[in-house]
Amino acid sequence: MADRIILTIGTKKGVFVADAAKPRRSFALRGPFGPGIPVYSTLIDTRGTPRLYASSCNPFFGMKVLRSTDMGKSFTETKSAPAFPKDDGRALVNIWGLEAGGDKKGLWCGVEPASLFRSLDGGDSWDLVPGISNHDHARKWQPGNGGLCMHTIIRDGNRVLGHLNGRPLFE
Amino acid sequence: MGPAPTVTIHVPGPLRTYCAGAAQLSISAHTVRAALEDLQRSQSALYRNVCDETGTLRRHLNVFVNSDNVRDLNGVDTTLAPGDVVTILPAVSGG
Repeated sequence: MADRIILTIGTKKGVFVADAAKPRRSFALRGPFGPGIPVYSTLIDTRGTPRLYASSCNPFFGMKVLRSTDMGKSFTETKSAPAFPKDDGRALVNIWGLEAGGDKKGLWCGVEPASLFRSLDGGDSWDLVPGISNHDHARKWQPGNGGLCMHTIIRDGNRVLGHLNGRPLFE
Repeated sequence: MGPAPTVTIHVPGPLRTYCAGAAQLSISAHTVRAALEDLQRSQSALYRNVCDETGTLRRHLNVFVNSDNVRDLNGVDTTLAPGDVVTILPAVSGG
């Protein structure tokens, strides 16, 4: 069993971190971090030095990615958040999914409108993944009840699976 | 067109962290659009909070020129005069 148990909890009021010692008799709750801002996705990244990530989805000021390098005692914004190229015509509405990449600092990020972004530096810079984001049918996809979003990313070795709301799974 | 008028931009509290804590910025611009473009160049982190990737003013933000919302004027093409105060004001709602 692990020495410590860490839970990250995304809520409409920010992200909370629950921390327990091995017996899990009680959890200490910290937060909210990014207070007052909805958090749709969190990631506990155990590659190398553990890092925690949270999407901070601010309807007023736009999307941010929060990162903690001290096991959730504090969070700071990464240097940038995913953003569509200016000539793309789409604008980020929400960050729905965060997933660790294959190398130590790689991250995947699923967003609304349904697209996938990749970071190679732990979230400080992001690039649109055109294969799925600019798929031939992408501009014709229709939203499900939760919106037109890529809400779940699953990595299996070198395979990356992305699930779009109301659409089949894409590999 | 003459030299661009100098105006003051009031930055709301939550965004001051993106411009080194400044509550006000002084900018020379003929229109609100030009003022935003100046922000894009000079205060890019602040700009990203005010406008999305397409350059559109974020939906829940209001921009006032003096006491008038630019939505009631000429939008981001509202012209600016020397000494105007441009206020970025997040909408407030609740039940």
